Parts: sequence; structure tokens; C-alpha cells
Amino acid sequence: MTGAVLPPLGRPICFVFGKGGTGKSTVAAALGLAASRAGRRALVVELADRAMVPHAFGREPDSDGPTELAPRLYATSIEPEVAAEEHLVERLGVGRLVTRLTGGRGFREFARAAPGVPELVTLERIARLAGVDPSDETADPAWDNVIVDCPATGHALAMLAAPEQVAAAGGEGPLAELAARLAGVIDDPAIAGVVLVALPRELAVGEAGDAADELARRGISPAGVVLNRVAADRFLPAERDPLERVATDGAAPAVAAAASMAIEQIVARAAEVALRAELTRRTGLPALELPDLAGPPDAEGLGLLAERLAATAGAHLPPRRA
Amino acid sequence: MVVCLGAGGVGKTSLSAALALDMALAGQRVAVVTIDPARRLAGALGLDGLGDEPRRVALDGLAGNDAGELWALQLDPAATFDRLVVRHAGSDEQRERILGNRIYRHLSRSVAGSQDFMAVERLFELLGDDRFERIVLDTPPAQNAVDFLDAPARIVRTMQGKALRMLSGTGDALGPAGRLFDLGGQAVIAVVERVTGSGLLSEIREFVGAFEGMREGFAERAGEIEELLGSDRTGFVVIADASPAALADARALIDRLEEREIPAAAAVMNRIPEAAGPGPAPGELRDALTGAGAADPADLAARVLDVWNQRERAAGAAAARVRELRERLAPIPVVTIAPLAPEPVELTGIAELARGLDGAPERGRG
Repeated sequence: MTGAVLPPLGRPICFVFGKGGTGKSTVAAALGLAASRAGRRALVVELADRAMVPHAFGREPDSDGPTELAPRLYATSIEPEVAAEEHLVERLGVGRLVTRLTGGRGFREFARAAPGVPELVTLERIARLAGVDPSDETADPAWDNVIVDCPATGHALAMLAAPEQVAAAGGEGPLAELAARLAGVIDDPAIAGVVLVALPRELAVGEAGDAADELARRGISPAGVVLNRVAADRFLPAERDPLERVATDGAAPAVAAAASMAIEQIVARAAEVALRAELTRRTGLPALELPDLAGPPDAEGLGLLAERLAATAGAHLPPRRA
Repeated sequence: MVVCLGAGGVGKTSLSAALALDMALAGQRVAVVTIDPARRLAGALGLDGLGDEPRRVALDGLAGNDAGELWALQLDPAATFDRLVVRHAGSDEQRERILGNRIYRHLSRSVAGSQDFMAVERLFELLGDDRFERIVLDTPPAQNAVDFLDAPARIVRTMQGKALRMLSGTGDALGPAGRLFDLGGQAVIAVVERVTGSGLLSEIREFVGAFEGMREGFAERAGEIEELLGSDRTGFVVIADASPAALADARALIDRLEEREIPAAAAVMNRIPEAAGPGPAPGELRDALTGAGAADPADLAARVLDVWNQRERAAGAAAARVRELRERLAPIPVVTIAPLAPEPVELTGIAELARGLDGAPERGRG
């Protein structure tokens, strides 16, 4: 391993949380790229069969295994329900015969109905990829960083709560054991961390704050907070006055309109700065800002974001003790 | 009844509220149902602690004398599911057995799709409520917005599923393949027992047992819900923004609606920047800024023009996407909404959004 590592990437597993539309996949991909550029072997995991991350790099997903996106950067996907089904079939002593007798769908339904099974199995796979499953004998994990592009906040919280819930329900057997084992992994701040992604919009900031509260109730503090799609600072505060004068003082309509547009930007930017402060207040961490890429993310844009993530790492140190 | 569908992050919740407010201001008694763990509608409507029961929203300062009423509520899928069980249970004992069962609690509280099913179930409950003439439904956040349409069938399938019944050891589920399945079933039970531990299986067995006799009532309800979604009483409004991903989701939704022969009532494209037209002459802008006392007028003018041109490009790209969706949907109306700054989180912001909608729902069915 070489180079500086961003604090959230200092942990083998990084769960990327956020409200729908905040750019979780983009941030997950950029985090992966930043890690790989720092010399680490990074894997971005999508929890659905959609391959948004490979597509952002202009790649089609590889059906045989993780898709290579850049040096040391790979992507893969896990579908929780399919994973649950595979897990159950794998552990079946009578395997294929039973599957044939009952039909594949039978297991899918069972996998769906069994409380917490898809979530547990997904977490187990993630833990194994990161080489942090204590029951896994593999000495050398394939990945230094496993970055998980999580579903929308509510579902993501439910996934992280699954081990504890299943373990709390009692009972014996391999599932209960798995739950107990994973609870120790997910809750260990040396192993796993949550990165909260928000947009500079009030509702998204509110949801990130709610997620931080919910995590805090479980004794987890976020490992990082990202404010995504932040507009560039184009004007100085002192430039507002002359712009205001041009906007109101009977200049030609197009000139006045252009000045108004610039003022709108200044106002919007000020609102973003206030929202960043609010995000920091709610989550207890300074937010790492990423610029608005103006368009769908591609390899170049993600490179820019990764650079930004690496450059702002210094601003992201844990708070000093009083 | 209006169901708002769309990808996450397009402003679906705010627009659902705006649609409802628009109708209320036009004199109707409207309830808006939102389903959202982050309780965003509560914020958007300036309400705290929005609950499962409809609450009247004060329209102070917005409404004239001829205004109707706006009610809002937050879907509580678990509470709705529990009511459904209470309604269908044959006895107190059956009801308690189901409500206390771990499998039931899991199915009703966390399985993907139960939220969707309950959203429509809640809609059904509200339809029977004389307080409301119209209901607007915001839909749950989903990886895939089209899943919403299949949710009732999916959850009923799970609850009635062969797998659960087989695992419970009830022979009647095994169907014509009877004995062969029975053998397989026994093997499955033995293995699942080994994998999961015994607690889970006995609970599944109890759940399935307790559900006997309610199955028909449930299936009937799901059938009614599907019928309602496909009827003239329901209008679907597809919501997107100018991002390619949201637009792709909107197109997929429209395809799926068409497959079911349910045309969308309308589409709304949110946060569409308006074209500002040809920009100012650079010299003129610079001179005006010089006159206004700017420190570096040439540089400032260049940055102002940059902002203008960027907006023009964004507006051009968005307009192309709006045209694309209009062509796809014609003659169904596509309404565009300009970006609001700040984002609407107060009732006044919602009202501004509502003005932008310009009667869109009235043009739809329903």
C-alpha cells in the first residue's frame, strides 16, 4: 500500500448511504478510484443488477467476475435475494434433487420470507470480499477496500440492522451464528464505516441527518460525509453590489438579466454554504465537497472527483479532543 | 385518485404535495399520502410528526373562500398491514397469533414490496372515507420505480406461496405432484431446519397455520387493488427531471403502464431550466459593470457570461429531453416545472410548485 488514505477508506468496508438521486453510485465509484490511485486494490459493489458503475467507465459488466475499470479498481454486483437463494441451495445436503423437485421459485420465496436472510447473506459476501469474516480461512483478501453502493437510506439501515435483529431473535443454528458473527464485524469501527452522501438541498441534508441519528442510536458514527454536486464559487462577495446595481439601474434588458442570473448564483451558493454547515451540525463531521459534474459521470469526471476526494482528505481528520 | 411514480430524487414527494394543494385550492377535499422513512412530506408541508392518520393542513394565506381542504398523512405500512389482518381475522385468537408471529412481522415490516402493497391498501381505506374527494399517492423510494405496479401481486404470492406452505408441512400445498413433492418437501424441511435452526421453521409453520382461512380474503383484496390501479378512477402521473437516468426510468414506467393498457394521465418534468435567450453583448456588460464600480469589470463580465452560457446549454439539453418525452407521450400532456431556489420545503414553496403545475391533473383521468 502506498500514498495517503482517506479516513473512510482506512477501513476495509465502506457503506455508501444516501437518499435516492444524491449520486451514491458516483461517490462510491469515485471513492474506489481514489483508493486504487493510492495503491490499494478496490472493489465497488452494487447491490442490484444494474452495473451503473461499469457503465460510468464505459464498460460492460463481466459475467465471470468483477469487472476491471482501472488499474486496481474493479466493480461487481450482489443481488441480495439471489444471493440468499444461492446460499440456501449451496448448503443443501441434497442440493440439485431438491431444487428440481421444488422448483427454483420455491427457494426464492423462502429466501424472501426468511427474516433477514438476504441481508445477512449479502453482508457475509461483503465481509468475505474484504477478508474480514472470521470464519473465512483465506489469509490474503483479494481487496483492500470494498465500497458498497447501498440502496436508499431506509433499506440500507435495515440491511445493517439485520445481524443484530436476527441475533436478538434468538434461536440456534448456522443463521443465528452467522448473524452473531456479522454483528461483530459491522459494528467494528476498525472494519466497517458508513459514508453519508447528500446534495446541497434541504431535503437531502435532512435525510442524511436522520440517517446519522439512526446510526448513532445503534452506536455507529459515520466515517465520512460527502456533499455532492456543489456549485463552483464563481463570484466574490464584494461583486454582489455592482451586480445588483447593473440588475436594477436601467441597463439594457439582456445586461440586467445576466447580472440577475449571476446574483441568483451568489444567493444559491450562500444557501449551499449554509446547508453544508447544517450537514456538519447534524452528522458531527465536516462534509467533503464534490463539484457538480454537469452531466452524467464518466471516467474523466470520476477522475476529477477522486482527485478532489484525495485532496480534501486533510480537511477530514477526526475532531480534536477538547 | 392520482398515483405519482418516478425515480428517487426527482422531487416526487414535493410534487405530490403540490398536486394535492393545486386540487385543494381549486375547491376539492384532497388527501395526500406519502411513504417515506425520512418524513420529507412533513417537512415540505411545514408539519411535524405527520402520522398514519390524515391531518388537516392549514392553508392560511393561500386559499380564497372557495378553497377546499388539504389533508396529509404519512403511510405506516406496518400499521396498515396490522389493520388488514384485524379486518380479515376470523377470531381474536387468530389475530393475535398472526400479529405476534415473527414471520408476519418480518413480511409486514421489511420485505421489499410490502410497503408498495400497503401504500395501495391505504389508498383503498381512504377511498371509503367521505372526507376526501380525491387522493394523491406519493410512491415509495425504489431501486426501480416500476416495481410499484407489481407489488400487490408479488406480496400475495409470497404470503400464499407454495414454499411457505411446503415448509410448514401442510400437505395440501403440494398439489398434483403430491407424493413426489412430499418426499422433496420433507428433505427440504430437514435441511432448512439444519441451516436455520428450529425456531424459524416452527414460526413459519405457525404463521401459515394462522393464515389459513385468511388467504381468500387477502387474495380478494389484492385483486381489488389491481383492478383499482387499472380502472378509470386512477390516474398515473409520471415524474422525472432532466437527468438521463430519471428520464430512462420515466420511459420504462410509461412502457410498463402501456403494457397494462393504462395510459399515464400526465407527466411532469421537474427542475427544467428555462432558456434565457441570446446573452448580452460582452462590451455592453463590461461597461455596465465598470459604471457600477466593479473592481475588475472585464473578468467579472467574462464570468457572468460563462454562467449565462452554461445555463443556455443546460436549458438546451433539458429542452431536448422534454421534446423527446413529449413525442413519446403525445397526446398525454407533459408539464415542465422550472427549478425553484430554494428548494420548496414550506407550504409557500409547495404553492409555487402547484402554480407551475397549471391544472395538470385535471387534464388527466380520474
